Amino acid sequence: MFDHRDERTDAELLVATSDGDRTALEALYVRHAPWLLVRLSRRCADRSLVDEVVQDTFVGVWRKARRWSGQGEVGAWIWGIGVHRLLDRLRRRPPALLALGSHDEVAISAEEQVLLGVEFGDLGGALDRLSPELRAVVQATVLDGLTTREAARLLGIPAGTVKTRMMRARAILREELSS
Amino acid sequence: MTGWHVDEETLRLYARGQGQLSFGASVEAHLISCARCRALLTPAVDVDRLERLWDEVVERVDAPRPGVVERLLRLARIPEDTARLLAATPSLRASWLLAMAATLAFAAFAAASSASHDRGTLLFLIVAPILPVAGVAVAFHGGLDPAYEIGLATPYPQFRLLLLRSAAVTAVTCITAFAAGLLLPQRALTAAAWLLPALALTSLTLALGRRVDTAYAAGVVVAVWTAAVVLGYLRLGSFAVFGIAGQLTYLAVAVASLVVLAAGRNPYATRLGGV
Amino acid sequence: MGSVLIEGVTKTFRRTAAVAGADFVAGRGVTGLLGPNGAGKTTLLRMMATVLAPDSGRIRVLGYDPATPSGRLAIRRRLGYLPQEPGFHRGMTVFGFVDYVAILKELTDRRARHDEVRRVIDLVGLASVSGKRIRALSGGMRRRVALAQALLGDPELVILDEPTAGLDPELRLRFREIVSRIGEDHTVVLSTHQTEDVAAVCHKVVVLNAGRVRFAGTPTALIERAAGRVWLDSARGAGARLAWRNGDGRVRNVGDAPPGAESIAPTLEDAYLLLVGDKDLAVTS
Repeated sequence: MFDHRDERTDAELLVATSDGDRTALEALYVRHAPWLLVRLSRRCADRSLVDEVVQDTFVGVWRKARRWSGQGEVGAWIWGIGVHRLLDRLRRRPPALLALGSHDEVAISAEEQVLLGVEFGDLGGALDRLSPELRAVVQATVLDGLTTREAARLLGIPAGTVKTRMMRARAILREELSS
Repeated sequence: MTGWHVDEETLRLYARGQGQLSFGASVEAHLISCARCRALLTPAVDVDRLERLWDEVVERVDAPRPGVVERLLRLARIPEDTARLLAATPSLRASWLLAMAATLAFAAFAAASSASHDRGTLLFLIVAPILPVAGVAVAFHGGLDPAYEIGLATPYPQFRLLLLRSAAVTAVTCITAFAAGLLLPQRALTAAAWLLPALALTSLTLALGRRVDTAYAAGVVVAVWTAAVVLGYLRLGSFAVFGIAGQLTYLAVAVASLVVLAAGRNPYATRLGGV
Repeated sequence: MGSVLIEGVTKTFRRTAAVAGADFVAGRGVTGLLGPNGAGKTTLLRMMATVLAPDSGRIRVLGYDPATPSGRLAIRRRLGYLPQEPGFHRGMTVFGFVDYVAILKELTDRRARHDEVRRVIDLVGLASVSGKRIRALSGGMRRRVALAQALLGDPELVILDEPTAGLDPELRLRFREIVSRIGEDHTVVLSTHQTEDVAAVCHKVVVLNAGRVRFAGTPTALIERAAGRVWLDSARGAGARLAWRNGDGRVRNVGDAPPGAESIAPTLEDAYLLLVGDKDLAVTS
């Protein structure tokens, strides 16, 4: 399935999918399943759970293709479905299985630090210095686009705690960046 | 886009789940809008795993989503294949069910609102058994099943299928009519007195359908039934035809017809539209 | 020993004899029933497909007798049939409908059945619309859906009634491709009134007219009958049964050529026209 290329754009594929074209869904899968799998795996260590979520996501793409607004990146839309499917699955399982990225310190070259700095500037370093709990909350809400309630469900903490941690994170980041 | 792309080493680190939050976040932010780098990530993921997952997606996506009728049948513990076949019955389609419900409603309304309760109830009692007969005739009449000819050339026992469909249609119409009958004034009659006649008429139609076109048989049966009930009302008064003697007759007719049905061999279709 | 044996078969509807005594044998490869409308092609195919009973005569399909219930069942288990007017449950999707027929064909294992449905859908080139409802498809696509269901289970005998009717040329070519591939190791019997279809894919042709077989043999043998009976001239010839002006201005005559006429190589169409144009010419080989 990874041999022949489909020449259509992501948007065209999504429109075709909404029209019942299974080959279009397959092309979308070839393009987006790999990164989805990795991105989900960086948030959840349970391999079989990630497998199920990837499946759920593309079945969701098939069913919801009609509802795509036509704006923005198709990848972002797919991630939106994916992260919510992750939530659904986690609801039925204890969230203790969640992993939040590796804790090993990997030596990143000075060059890469500069390049990475392009995306996030000083914010990047400040983010990394946050405690794991605050980082998790920032990742869930800011980076993955979940609401407070959804983030609470994902992390297995009360919504109030999410709000408090967000406030603390914001305060720390503001302080770091201004100094 | 800054023109910055992710190099292979970074991608490999990312794919292995390594790196800090900002590292992952910046890679992810880039991947969202860069198809080229997304494609570069692909070799880092296990192909077999991806293909296995795709097989599952295909299976779930292709599988036809069951309609209301099919889901109800599954709830009644009917196996999936049979439920699919039954759900395709012409007389279990929404349009048909609505027509049947409308007819029942009309008859019930007439029964409830007529000045003479007797006449109204009589109307209901005439109509109620006719509904399953009509449903069965439609189920059997090849012309209304669009895929009839294709179905004839398949090994699935057509007669069994048609009987199953008739049973499903009869059950549905009888349950609905029973419910409607319970709401009417003379409910002892309207709820139950027509059940045996319904069974008799339906099985008689099926048995006659062996010899003549089922739609024709249904027409004859309905005409005779209506005439018999009306005559009985006029000559013998009230609901004589629904009395004990009557009910026993219906039972006898039903049993005889079912015996004839069961005994007959599956006949060769001598005309399209036959079984 | 042919896969399909038709011997002295008749069938009358009301007062018209749809088939008035037909004899032929069809074996491995593609056999084409050629004839005008009303020639009895559909009736014959229906009898082969166990959907209709003959009034008289003998039929054997794959060695079984369709007059017995067990024979019919055996035939139906090895048969794929595309009727002249295939009907669909229009609300169903392409996959849903073909899966429905697959259930009727006793493919009970759900997973295997779905894989088989996908296989035939890919075979006829409908993978890109497998999730679409049939009522949203064009006529040509619906025909392909009907062809797909006929190919379920890779049946030994495939009966196709006017499979290319109403199709545009490129789809017709695709059909020919599929049919000839299947014909390599199965028995295909198809009916058509397009001589090009026959010339392109059939190993054997049976010409029917008014319920009788006028010819049964190879396309080459049929063409040979028209040898010397097609000629070019500046105008319509005296013995010509049919004549029309070519694209290059000459008149093409089909019939009894005058001596010294400029004969040209006949096509299958010429031979066919000669055969069905005149009822007295009925000969079987």
